[in-house]
Amino acid sequence: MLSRPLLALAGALALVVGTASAAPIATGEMLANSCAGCHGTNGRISNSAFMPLAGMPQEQFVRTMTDFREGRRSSTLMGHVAKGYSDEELKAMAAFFASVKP
Amino acid sequence: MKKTLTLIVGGLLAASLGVAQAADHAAAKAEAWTPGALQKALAGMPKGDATRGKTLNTQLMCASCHGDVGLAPTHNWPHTAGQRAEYTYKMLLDYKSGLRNDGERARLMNTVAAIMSEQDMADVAAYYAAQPLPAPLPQSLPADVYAKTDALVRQGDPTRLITPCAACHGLHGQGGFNETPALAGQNPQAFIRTMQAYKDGSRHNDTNKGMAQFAERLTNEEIEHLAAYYASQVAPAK
Amino acid sequence: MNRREFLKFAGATSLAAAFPVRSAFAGAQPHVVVVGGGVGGATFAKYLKMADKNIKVTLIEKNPVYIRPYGSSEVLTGHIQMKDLDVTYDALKSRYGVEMLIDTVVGFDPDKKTVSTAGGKSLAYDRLIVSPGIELKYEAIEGYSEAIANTKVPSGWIPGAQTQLLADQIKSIPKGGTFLLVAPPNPYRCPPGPYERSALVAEWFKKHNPTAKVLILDPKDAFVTDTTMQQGWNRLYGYKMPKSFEEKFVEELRKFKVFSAQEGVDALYAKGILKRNSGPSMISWVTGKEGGRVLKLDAANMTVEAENGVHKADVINIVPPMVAGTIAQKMGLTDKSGWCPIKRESFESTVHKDVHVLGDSSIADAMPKSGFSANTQAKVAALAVAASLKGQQPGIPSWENTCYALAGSDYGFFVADVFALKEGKITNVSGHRYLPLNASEAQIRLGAVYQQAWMKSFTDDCFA
Repeated sequence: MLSRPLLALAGALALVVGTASAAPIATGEMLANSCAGCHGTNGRISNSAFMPLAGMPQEQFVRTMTDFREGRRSSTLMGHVAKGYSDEELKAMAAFFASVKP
Repeated sequence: MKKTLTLIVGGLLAASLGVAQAADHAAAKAEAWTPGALQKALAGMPKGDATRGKTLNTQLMCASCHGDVGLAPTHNWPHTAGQRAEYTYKMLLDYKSGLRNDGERARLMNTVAAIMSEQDMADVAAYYAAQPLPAPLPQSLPADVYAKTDALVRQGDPTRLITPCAACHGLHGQGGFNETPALAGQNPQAFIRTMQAYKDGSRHNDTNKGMAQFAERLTNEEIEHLAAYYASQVAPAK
Repeated sequence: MNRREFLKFAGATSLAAAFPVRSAFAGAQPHVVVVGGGVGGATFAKYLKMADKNIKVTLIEKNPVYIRPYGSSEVLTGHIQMKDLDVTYDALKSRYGVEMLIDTVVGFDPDKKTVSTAGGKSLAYDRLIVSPGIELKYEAIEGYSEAIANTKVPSGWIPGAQTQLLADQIKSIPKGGTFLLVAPPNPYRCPPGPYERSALVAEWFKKHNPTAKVLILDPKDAFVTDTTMQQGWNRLYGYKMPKSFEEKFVEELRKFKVFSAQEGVDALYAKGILKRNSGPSMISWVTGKEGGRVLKLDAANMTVEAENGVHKADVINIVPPMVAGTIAQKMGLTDKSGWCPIKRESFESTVHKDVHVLGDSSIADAMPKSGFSANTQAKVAALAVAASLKGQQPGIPSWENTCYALAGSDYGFFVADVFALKEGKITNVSGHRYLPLNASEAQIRLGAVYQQAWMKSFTDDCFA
């Protein structure tokens, strides 16, 4: 398990590498914390109707959330939540979850 | 097309509300299959309409987790593409009866299966069966481990009374008779979760412990190797 | 005790206050004191320790076991029991190293940065977090009081003995009797809650007392999830959709291109969006416009006087108006609205420096007063406090809220929001917040499964 500061660093690095836009965004850690109420602290959850996000490959997370956001994938609620995040924010969240050991 | 779909959704909703109200959380204890009862149920499976199954795949939210064509979009879910119709049909029966109730995830399936008729089940099963099996993942096991796993699959392990996996699931994981599922190209996480659920007894919808008796004798390491093995298999064209 | 007496109390415990408990590493190890072990306080304590385990975190809470308010209406129908609402602080202690102090804060000195407790302790803090939830203003309704709520006309909006009393009362309603719920004015904790409670009671009646009725008296004309909740009532309990809402339905369905411009109210029924109910409805909702504002309770005669007349009931459940938790008022953190103004990016009070207010008590713009809001506010504040103790500015904040709600045990929906700071205010940035009105039955049933799953996942994220 990575420590929180390391995770935050991983998110921040991904951010620097992943975005070209000038508008500053919240860190991956800050954004990902909002997911934890359903998907578990740091995206770790087992034996739940909610799916774990810890260790999800970054590309899977981003594709999933953009599919929800654009309505390509149906959902009960995730489509609504996904609409609140930009591509850059999704990448930052994804980098955070990809860096957490499941 | 869009308008037709809306009408169907509205109609379905109105028609099935009665079911939702009738559904009770304290469902009767589901009965385990006997070989005879299962054979009869599968023989009575309605003829599936894959086109209607495609529509149901969306309407019933199956696609949200298992994908538009049965390819799960994340590693959290099993692929259903190319699966034997009898297997999908039996799973839906078992989810509806509550025989399959392995953990909190199963509730999602119990809930949706509760509003499916046997015809709905057969249609969705036909739709998945009409799709090609998932593309294989690259073979990731070291050569010696692959060889050992391949031997387990093809020869079993008589010392532990493990029959060859291939005897039921086919030489390339393409599936066998009736409800014996295809495994080729399956998402390894779903494979491991399934085997662990058989091993710890939380999944018990197989007939006469047909799968559980072997899962119980496999080590966790062997299960992981089998998951990687089957994920990389290419089944012969149907 | 008014605010002045409360502050003076700090002086009365002068001996303790003069030698406040400081850690052996004073100066090296910052001390953060959290007052209130509900969702906001617990989540904050856990996430601050996750952010920096070297910070000493003390959580002061008066009850050794937390009774969760979210989902507590399910006790009323026997779906769960009171003990299922209990949440312990064990994991906060053992897994995260939070120091628990079961005690009540009775004094506060914002200049010396100390709080003192009924148990005689004085704690010096570098940052103080106040997350006290709500105080119910029983007396705001003439004839109502906490004593009456405890014995005859329960509220149960803060769960506890009143919840059990209400559950027992509902079970003993005579055949064809009336359950009357008095809904609160805005703002209040758990916006869909009074209407979900009404639905769950109706569901119980349907099984056990099918001619009984639920009557809601409301000072408001709208509530969060009012379209989807009424749609559930309509489908399950014979509820007739008011005309104004039929129009709202058509407008929304057109907006989302489900309806064409030609399709109107008739199409709602033709397409199964709503049911045409001809029989009596199990639920009636009297809005503010219709005279639903309640003026007076007569507990002896079990009547409620509203603007539209006097209503007699077998069980009366009042959700009274509410303000910030008592301790926040005593600490002087509230403004004239009764709630606590804060700086959005850190939830630091605008009244007292180094004091943060979380959850229901805070004024958080578009965020509803809900457990989920308190949870994400606590996380934003934890990162801000961790940064500030290192001399850094808070980062860019982000919040979410999801309230799942039930119209029946198989009928789930939600309000979901993502929030960001826009022009100094916490603003919804995700657009449409509700389950679509043409949602499929599978979506609705899965919504109920997720609602149940959320009770566990959410509790774990806050407390475990």
